[in-house]
Amino acid sequence: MPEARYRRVVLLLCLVVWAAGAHASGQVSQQAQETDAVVAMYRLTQTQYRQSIADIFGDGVRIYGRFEPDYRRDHLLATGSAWASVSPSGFEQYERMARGIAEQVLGAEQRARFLACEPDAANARTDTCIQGFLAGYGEKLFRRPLTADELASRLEVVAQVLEIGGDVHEGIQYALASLLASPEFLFRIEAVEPEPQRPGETRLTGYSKAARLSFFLWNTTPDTQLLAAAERGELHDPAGMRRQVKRLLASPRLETGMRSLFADMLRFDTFPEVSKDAALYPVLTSEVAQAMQEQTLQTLMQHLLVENADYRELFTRESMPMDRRLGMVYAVPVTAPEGWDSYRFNEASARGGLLSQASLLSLHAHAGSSSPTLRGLFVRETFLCQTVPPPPADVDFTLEEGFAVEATARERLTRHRSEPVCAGCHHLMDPIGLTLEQFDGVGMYRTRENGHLIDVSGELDGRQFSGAKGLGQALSEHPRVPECLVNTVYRYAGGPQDDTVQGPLLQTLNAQFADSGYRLRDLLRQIATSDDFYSVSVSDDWAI
Amino acid sequence: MTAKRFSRRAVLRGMLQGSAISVALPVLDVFLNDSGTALAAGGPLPLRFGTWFWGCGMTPERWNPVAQGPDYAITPELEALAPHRRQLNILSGFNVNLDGRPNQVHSSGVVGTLTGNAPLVPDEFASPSLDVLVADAVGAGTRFRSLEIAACGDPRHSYSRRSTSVINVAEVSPVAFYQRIFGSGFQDPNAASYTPDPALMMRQSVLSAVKDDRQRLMRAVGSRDRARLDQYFTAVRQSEQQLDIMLRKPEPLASCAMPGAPVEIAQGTEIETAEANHRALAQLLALALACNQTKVFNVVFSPGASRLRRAGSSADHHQLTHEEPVDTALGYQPQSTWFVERSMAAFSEFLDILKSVPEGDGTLLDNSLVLAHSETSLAKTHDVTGIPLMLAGQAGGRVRTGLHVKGNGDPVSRVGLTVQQVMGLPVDRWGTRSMETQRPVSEVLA
Repeated sequence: MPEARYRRVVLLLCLVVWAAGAHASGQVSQQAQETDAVVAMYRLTQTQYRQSIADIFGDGVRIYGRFEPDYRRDHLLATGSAWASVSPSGFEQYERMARGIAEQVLGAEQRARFLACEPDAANARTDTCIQGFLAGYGEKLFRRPLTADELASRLEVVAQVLEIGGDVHEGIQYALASLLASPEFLFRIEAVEPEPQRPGETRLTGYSKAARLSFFLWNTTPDTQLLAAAERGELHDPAGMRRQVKRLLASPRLETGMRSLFADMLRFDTFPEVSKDAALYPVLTSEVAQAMQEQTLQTLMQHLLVENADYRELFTRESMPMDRRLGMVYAVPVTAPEGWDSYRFNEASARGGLLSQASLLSLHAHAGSSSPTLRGLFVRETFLCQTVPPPPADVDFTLEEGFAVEATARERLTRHRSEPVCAGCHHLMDPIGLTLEQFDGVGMYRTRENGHLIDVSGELDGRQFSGAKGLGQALSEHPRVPECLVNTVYRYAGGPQDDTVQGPLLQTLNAQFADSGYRLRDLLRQIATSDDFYSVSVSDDWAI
Repeated sequence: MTAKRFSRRAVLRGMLQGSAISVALPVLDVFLNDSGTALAAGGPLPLRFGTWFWGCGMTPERWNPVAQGPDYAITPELEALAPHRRQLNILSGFNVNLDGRPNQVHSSGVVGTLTGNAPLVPDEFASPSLDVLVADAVGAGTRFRSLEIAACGDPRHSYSRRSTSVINVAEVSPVAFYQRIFGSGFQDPNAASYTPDPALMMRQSVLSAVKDDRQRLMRAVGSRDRARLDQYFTAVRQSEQQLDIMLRKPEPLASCAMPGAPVEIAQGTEIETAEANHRALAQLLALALACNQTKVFNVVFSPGASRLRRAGSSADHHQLTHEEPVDTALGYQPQSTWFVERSMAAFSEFLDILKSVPEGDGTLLDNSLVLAHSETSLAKTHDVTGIPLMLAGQAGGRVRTGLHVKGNGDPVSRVGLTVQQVMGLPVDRWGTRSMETQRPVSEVLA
């Protein structure tokens, strides 16, 4: 009965457009979104889910349930989210979280904050109050207006709940839960539409551009202004896009987004897996581990956003935030009784630069010892964007001289240098990590291991140096370091992956980053305002 | 909305609006028709399948028995399992064949065992893991398709995967695990009365709306994303089945008893902490099985490249397997072997827990098949030949136990094929490339 179905949709559209006057932004898509082809799907990360819910319903709404672990691919969770799906136990949890959120929003205590009108139980399928609520929150959750069918199936939920014996608020509550459990919310879905100027070509829809931009810079769902700009088509216009990028970059929420970017790049999501031996490292409580991560993120925000300083100087930066908990790890006096203070390490100190921070030193070490190899691997992968092959599977790692007999790591790792099968790769890692050996498995300073003086000489790509400060200096002058950041930020942002776009675009971005004096804010702006960043290569595996 | 759903709703609404909330069984026949797989009263006890994984393998000359058949001498690393030897088969000498693919250390062995296919990259599951295949065949009639637990505190310690990126994550907290099974939504099968919860039907309409979103999306996506969406909607369908099951009066089960709520305990990789979590989680799992909440389970005592450690020691199990020298007097790595022995003791304790639940004339273990395995034989060299495997439980009389079976270098997929056939899957061939096989391990088939 196509005709009857059509009449119903039109009727709904009329009602909802009329209702929209009463309710803020709620409206139903009037374009042919049903035919927009999907080009990418990103499963929301745990952080994105939490921040989206907080933005849409306020901080007071709690989330009950356990998230599916985020999935890392090519070193980034952001990349993995384009591959992740939902398992049965994962959906069980998403459905539970959806019900929990909806119950709080429509519960008697808080309801008035979200639902300003009186819903009419007698006309659940046509009531403008119910439609306005579902269309309004539907648009926020789906990051685009609901289609007529999507709204109709939610109104059906309200009607069914009433039929089962629930009241009208329960009906709306379950309808809201169905929006929250929908793939349209749980995945950020990017769609393309025909490019009006160039027949036969496609472009990202305005709403898809809005979401890509918002998750890149703020790591959360687009706000009402951005959705409104998308609706008006302004994001297809370079000036309109520049206006929004400028607004997003000026917002304090940029910090939220950049914290997520660096937490992803530095793999802070793996911190809960860090299990250190309590007898060897009594200082590392979970509170201290938390403070370590916070210190690093604060350092990055201060340096890159507040001071708008040169990215390369992070590796030689002498001051870092410090609180009383960390004072014990760093063995420095902290005067502030609570909260954070800035501490500058002096000339004589062995510490200096991002790599001498306890968070990174703890994360890349064993449960009961440091690890020059793991630290060297981390530097190669994260700051130089290089891969080191895994060890041959059948290699015999046994330390000839006897396990734990040699005093310092440098001696214990002799075989990594003396045997060609090991040296081929370990010369890329160990000489970096050995310069950090004055910091133990949780980043505490030491000059001796097992009573023997630690030698911290090392090397990076032909340059000889000594200690953490020498390493920091070498990295700050290494040409791959800024290029690697550009590459990482670009991949995190979800830029096109095909070589024809990516190659030239990265080249341009690298040149612009250098011209700007390696300022992160400029890099973000250049990526976010680049046309090519929003270009889509429609692979041949999709069909409308 | 189907007619069937409507009539069921109408019936239930009638009940709820009436005064009698305690409902007599005959009225509920309408619910039993939904999927038609409810247990008939007095029918056979459910058959369960599970995996039990420990990391970093064993020491071949201290783990592998020598003699074949029932009269093998117990070996040092298997000593802790001696009390269970009559309920247990030891399988030695089965290989993961790499067929020229790289040995992805600590991954090829487990993926090869569970999929019959060596991965190209670490943790690549080109096809679903064995437990998912079994759950797809037998898991539809229970509230949970499968349940996963892990003892070292990390929910990612799970090899139950539908694909590389769809992981059935593990429960790591006994308190959370208890809540999930015995918290709200649990129906005591032995309760005198049955009260259908109208909220369950409201949740059905939520899922129905979510499924409506499917059509538009499936039309619009490319093939890779279509596969991901399929996985998502498979999960939605399983949630629907879960609700259907919860809307039926469960069959009484004599061995089902509600446990008391556990208390929160510390988590981590220190071995005694892991053992305590394993114990608490396993006890809850055994009761979940006894109460027919699931038929399929997966336990990870320690993951591949196990980071289990002894308090105060600077090296964990994985580090020790590589760095600890072989003691020339003993002929093996003494600290590494200690972790293997403790892992076997943990498996022994797991079997004790399954045996502690009486069922019919025997125990829960008698109606189960448990595949215990690791990702390597000798971890020192990441050896994927002679993977250590055990099959515990007689699977309701379908399996002979008490044997040591030598694989003589046969592909490990023979064991996976055996498991599927015991569990009633119509499969006569399993595995890829040189691991493709049509030969189950017939010695253990009753």
